[in-house]
Amino acid sequence: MKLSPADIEHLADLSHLALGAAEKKKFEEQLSSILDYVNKLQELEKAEAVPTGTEAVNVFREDKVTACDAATRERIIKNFPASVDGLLSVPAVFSETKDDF
Amino acid sequence: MDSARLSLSDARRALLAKEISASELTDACLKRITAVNPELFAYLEVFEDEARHAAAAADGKLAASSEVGPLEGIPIAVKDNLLNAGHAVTAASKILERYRAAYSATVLEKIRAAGAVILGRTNMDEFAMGSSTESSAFGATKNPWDVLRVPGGSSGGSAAAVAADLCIAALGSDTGGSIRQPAALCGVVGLKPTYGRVSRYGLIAMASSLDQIGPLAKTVEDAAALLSVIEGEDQRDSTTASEPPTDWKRRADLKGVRVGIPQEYQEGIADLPMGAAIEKAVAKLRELGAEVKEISLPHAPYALAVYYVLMPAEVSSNLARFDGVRYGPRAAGENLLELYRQTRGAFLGDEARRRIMLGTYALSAGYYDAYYRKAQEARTLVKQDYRAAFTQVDVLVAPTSPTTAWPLGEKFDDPLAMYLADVDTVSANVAGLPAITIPCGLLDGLPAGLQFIGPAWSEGMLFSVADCAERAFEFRKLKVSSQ
Repeated sequence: MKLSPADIEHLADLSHLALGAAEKKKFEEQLSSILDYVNKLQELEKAEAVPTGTEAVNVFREDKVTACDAATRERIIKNFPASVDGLLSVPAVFSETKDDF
Repeated sequence: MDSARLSLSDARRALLAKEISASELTDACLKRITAVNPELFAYLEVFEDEARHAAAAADGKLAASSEVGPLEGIPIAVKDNLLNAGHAVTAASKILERYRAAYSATVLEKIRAAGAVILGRTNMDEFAMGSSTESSAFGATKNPWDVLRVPGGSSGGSAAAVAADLCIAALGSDTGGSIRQPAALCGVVGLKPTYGRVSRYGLIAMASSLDQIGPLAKTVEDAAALLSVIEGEDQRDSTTASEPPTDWKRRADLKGVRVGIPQEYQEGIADLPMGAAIEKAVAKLRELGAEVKEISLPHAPYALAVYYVLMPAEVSSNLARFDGVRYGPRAAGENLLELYRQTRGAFLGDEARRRIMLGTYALSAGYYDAYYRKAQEARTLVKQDYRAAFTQVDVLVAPTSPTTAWPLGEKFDDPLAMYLADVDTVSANVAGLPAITIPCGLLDGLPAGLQFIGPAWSEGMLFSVADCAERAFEFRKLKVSSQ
């Protein structure tokens, strides 16, 4: 399974990863050889098995709000790259110009 | 004797008999860390003051003989993907370099409540992705048996710390062999419990259908002691099961134990020096009275491929949260998408990015059926093989790793070669089964590991069998004489 430069470009986009030119080349080769290996799964043409995971049963619990002490709250806020007066600061999701929609 | 060299059970006996104090024991470990850690780099951070305080508190309880916990005063090292409130926890990644845990993992709460002295956080492959601890963003850990070799991974720091007596025991996590393989390469005991045995609340997730936390220790008895503290149902990890606690008894021999040798594992090492080492170990099991027979796991050769589809798929989802918005550094970008791309591109290491891309590929439109779905079907076949095998035998015995520790750098630029190092360990994760590795001898002066795999929830049986084998192998005597 040989990935093309366009495949790598597409995968990096889907993965939200900015890659340099040298990295793209390196990953192209490395991912191709890994895919070659995992392609041995295609030998199991007539697997006829139920995929694992379908036997799982939902586990429910009460949706209770539990208190978060001040120190924990402080630690959570501190881990954010940016905060203002105890509020979390995140980048804008929408831009102001109509063209972007 | 340097008390840092004690096993957990010997240290416990000495503490209860007041032959040593918890402070002396902690100081002995800290002294060894100061002497050896700069070279081994097993620890990313040592909590020196905090450990001394905890040891002093344990001494108070031991002196009063009140509220003495099962790990009272025992110095434990913790892999750096387990949250410890108020402390840095990095998963050995640049993207979490300045992260401090807001809360503690269930296993940390449990060992602390049991009286353990937490010595520090140990090095690992970034986000537990790797088999050599070389993918740590902060530098590679070295194997205490030969500092020019890898300790295995991803829990390489914990394994090296136990092997070099920089702690009494340690916690690690195992997604495809990350406890057992480094334990084997460093000559210590490592257990991957049954999926659902130990709560993963507060473990930085890698592949959630495979991850399990477990002990690395100097003896089987020690691993069992640590498991009994960390196991159990937890509301905060809905995959934990309400199974009775693990119970095990020491056995004098292995009479009546049916041991299966999976041919497919043996074929992989037939021409390697490991083949002879395993044969010798199996001969010992026979001498102990075990009834040994060959067995077939027809889909075992597909387990590694199954693993390297499912695990990256889960990784690509679990690591989506590291986007520059919620944790750690935020790279500049002209818009939100660019901010994500630049942050993840700059602060996630090569292996993490490779696996994210591989998993994204396996889940993407047009490829899902050929990869993800196919792998989930094959996973069922792997599980069925084990189920069938355990109708004929009680326990399976296999190598833990096809080779002993390899030279630093040897596989670092060849991810597929690195993945193949997991060939003996991944199927226990794929099938959710418990597996334990114990050192069974030396090959050219380096430890070889023997793996015992049991049916789900059979940790008690695994401890009984592995403990019996361990006493016959006499590896700790061998270790002392080889150093």
